[in-house]
Amino acid sequence: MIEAVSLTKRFDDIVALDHVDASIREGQVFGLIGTNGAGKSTFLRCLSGIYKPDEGQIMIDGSEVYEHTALKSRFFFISDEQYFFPGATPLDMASSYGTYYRYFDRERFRKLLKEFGLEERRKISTFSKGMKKQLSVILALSAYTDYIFCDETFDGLDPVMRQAVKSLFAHDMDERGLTPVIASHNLRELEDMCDHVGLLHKGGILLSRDLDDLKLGIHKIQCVFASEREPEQLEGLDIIKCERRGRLRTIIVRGDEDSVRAVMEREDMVFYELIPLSLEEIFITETEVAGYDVKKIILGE
Amino acid sequence: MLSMKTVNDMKGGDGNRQNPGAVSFFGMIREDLHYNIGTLLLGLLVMVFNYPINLALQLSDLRTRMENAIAMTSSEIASADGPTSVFVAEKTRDYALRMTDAANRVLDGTGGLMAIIVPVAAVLCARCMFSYLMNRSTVDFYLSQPVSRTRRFFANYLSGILIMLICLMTGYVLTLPVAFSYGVSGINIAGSLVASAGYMLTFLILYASVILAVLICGRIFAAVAAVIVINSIGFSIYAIGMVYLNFFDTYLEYGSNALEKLYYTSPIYYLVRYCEILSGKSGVFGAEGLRFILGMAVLSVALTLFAALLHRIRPAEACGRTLAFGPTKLPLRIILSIIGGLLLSFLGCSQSGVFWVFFFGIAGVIIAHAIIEIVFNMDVRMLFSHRIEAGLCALAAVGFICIFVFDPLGYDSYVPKASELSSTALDFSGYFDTRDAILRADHEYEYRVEKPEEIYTEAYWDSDPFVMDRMAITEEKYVEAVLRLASCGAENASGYNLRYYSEHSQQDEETYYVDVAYRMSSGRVRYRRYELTDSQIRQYMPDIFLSMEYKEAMYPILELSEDEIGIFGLEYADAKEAEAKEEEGRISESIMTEPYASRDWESYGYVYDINDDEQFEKELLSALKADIRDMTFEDYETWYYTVDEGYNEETGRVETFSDSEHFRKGDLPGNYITKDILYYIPKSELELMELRYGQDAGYGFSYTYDYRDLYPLFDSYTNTKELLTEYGYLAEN
Repeated sequence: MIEAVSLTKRFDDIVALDHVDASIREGQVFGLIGTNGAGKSTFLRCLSGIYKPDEGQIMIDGSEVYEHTALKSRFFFISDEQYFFPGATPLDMASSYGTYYRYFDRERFRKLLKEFGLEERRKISTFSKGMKKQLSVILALSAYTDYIFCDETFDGLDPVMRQAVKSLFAHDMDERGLTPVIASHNLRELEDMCDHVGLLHKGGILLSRDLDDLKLGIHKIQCVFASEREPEQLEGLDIIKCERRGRLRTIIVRGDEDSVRAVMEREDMVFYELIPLSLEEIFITETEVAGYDVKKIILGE
Repeated sequence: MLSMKTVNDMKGGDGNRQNPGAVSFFGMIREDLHYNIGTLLLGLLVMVFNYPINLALQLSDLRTRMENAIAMTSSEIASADGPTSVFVAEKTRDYALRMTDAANRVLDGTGGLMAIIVPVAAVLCARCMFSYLMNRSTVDFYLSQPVSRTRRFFANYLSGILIMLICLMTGYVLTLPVAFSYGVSGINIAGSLVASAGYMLTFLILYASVILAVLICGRIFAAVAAVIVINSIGFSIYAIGMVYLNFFDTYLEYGSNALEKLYYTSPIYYLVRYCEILSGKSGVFGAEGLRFILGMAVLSVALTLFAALLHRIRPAEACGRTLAFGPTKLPLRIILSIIGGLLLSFLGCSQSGVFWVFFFGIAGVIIAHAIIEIVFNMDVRMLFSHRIEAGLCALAAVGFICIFVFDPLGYDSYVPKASELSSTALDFSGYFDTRDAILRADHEYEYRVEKPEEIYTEAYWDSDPFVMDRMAITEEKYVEAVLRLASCGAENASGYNLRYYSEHSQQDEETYYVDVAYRMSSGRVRYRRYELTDSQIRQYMPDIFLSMEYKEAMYPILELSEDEIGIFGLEYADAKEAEAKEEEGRISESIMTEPYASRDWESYGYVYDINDDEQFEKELLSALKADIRDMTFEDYETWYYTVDEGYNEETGRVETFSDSEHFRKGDLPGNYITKDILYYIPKSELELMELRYGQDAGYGFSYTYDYRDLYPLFDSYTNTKELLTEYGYLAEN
């Protein structure tokens, strides 16, 4: 289990991480969301033992990561600024990682390269940005570490490749309990991958929840009342937000689907419909409730 | 189907405790070398040119020259029906020695370009192995790996060393077959290996210093600047010290300058010094050479450990910043701007008036501070971002300049009490030149006769330090006399402190410098140089001159025993008298070389050897000693005139001037003497020189011998003159 306790990192006058508390359980995909400069990369670099925290701790299974080589052999960090040796081929990189990761599986590496359609003896410098990202993911998966930390890794991957990577992650999670931690500023990309999400903003965590809890506990209702009624008059609904466009009402409520439907069935409706919320909508709603102008947070407006 | 492993398979049942030692240290080194193969190949190429190809060129040239010399001279000898085999054997032996010497010089590094290769290699290797610290992607790559920072440091560090070592040893090893193929024998393998080890140590020092520069900086540009600063800061402080110490009127740079130790703060100096030692006569196997190599080994270890520590604590986020360690910014900015400013103030030191010294000092600090700000922030707009600190630095520089210009600490007025001294010494520059004996500079040879060309090295290049080091005036009344003279000099120097504008330099009376050594009871020695007028010297010197301790230092012949004199020579003021005595057979052409006061600039030979028995020489020495001991300050006479050229205002022409009484047309444009002079060579030197020249005699030159000192025969030297007259060397007046 990964645990950050009051994690703080400063760069001169800039506080990149400000007393962040977070925990990431094993065997789930943790999504770290935030705008550019929110502190996602800094968090991952602290988690990877690259940065030394100025205050607080970041631990894996109760031990601090910084300069802990045993712990560092349990994760693979895919930086947003990937590095490959000058003139190196994928096989060269595999050989290099094989030096550092004792369980690095060259056989699997070559198979994955083949499946992704990457040439093993081609110079990496001739690869496209997306191909380099694929190579990084393949290297990470071949290293057989318990954790893979991905910093903006899925940006630039085409949907097919993204899906392939997701499948591989899912496979490894099932087989050996891999725990990917994925940082991205793109909520839509993480939506169908993550089990748990944390929203970083200005160095602090605004929100950290299981995605299922988020999705199942919040609903959007579009309805038209038969008579002139206000949504607030509906009994048994925990309404978060209401909007009206002509006679059409859009209501966002908390609660499980069955109880929401039961309430709606009781009422005299011309029409009603439960629509699933996207991750982005959930975040907007939740964070607005928390008092933040989420459009500024997520979209940087 | 993808190959998979179970979690338990991988973790060995305990995933948190994978063995970190699994990362092979040598695997890391192998990888470093693999990805720097280009540098390695470049190094090998350079070393192949520096070693085997270099030697092959030299040996080929020597062989051709030998063959040409033998062919040319053999044909001449053959045409004269003479035997050629002896000559050929001699030439072959001579060239064989030269070829061996060439091979040894290439192998020990003195015959190549190691002085250039070593620093370039240090920079290249450090760049290859540690420039990853400058780039975020490489920092992420290396520092996220399951390797400790210390382990990473030493793997990279050793890889850099290996690149140099492989190149060096490859060059060395390939040189041996080249040497053998030319039939070279007598190669000093051990010596050249030790010399190569020394070069490796200079490489290590430079390599570690470049790594330190990389570690303290986060940008390549800043690291390059740091390398320059690290290598030049010692020289800069030395230069500042020397320039500003000379603001003191009484400052005397004497003997080993303590500030010269600052050279050792510069890594490049070790290479320079090592090259000097290698090319010196004693080489690496002299006491200094071995001591120096040992010192370099200790220093390189210390630098390496320091670099390892810095690498361990260096924050990863430093890449992209100018300085990796934030807290060093302020002190570095202060130190560098003050040093930079003081260096710029040198422009003012050459101007008339101290105003410009202060002006350039202040302006220099402001400029240096602004440049440092730009470099630190990589932003031109930030040049005055710390105005108050820049002002304080300028104030500090002004304070520093004031200390030397206005001497508030009383450096010039310092004269110790007699009770604080264990002894004192003094020496004049210029005052006695035409009135005293002349001591040769190279007294106290260090003898070494293993090789003909290494018979001696001179311990003294100048007679002034020779006198100062020998002199120890301890008798209280004479110490007091020296202190009275010093007080007078200190008084002359007190007040406004720019030497060229001091009051007495504008006086009509001629002034002279007197160097004084204060040897304190604590063991410390302080030196001062006082400027005194002729009348002041005449006032204080008679008392000091009565000290036998003073005289024994001033006249080395007083310490010689009768058995130690090898030969006496005599130079006559009157050339006709010399000719007459030569005809009488009393004197003969001297074996001594180039007398001090040669009257004919085209030839030597006005010194004559005294052809008499040892008994006479003993009597002569005894008489001379007695005369010197009895001599008073008032007994000095001028014995030497210099003919000079100058502008004659009356005629409007450049004319030759000299003392009219002694002027002789035939002497022009040389100098001439007005007193007879005694020369001598000690027996020990005579023997050593015979050994030396005897061994070199094959080249067909005839040698003359260096005399030691010369002693003009003043009128007060009655015992000496009477003896010389009695034995017929001087004409009776």
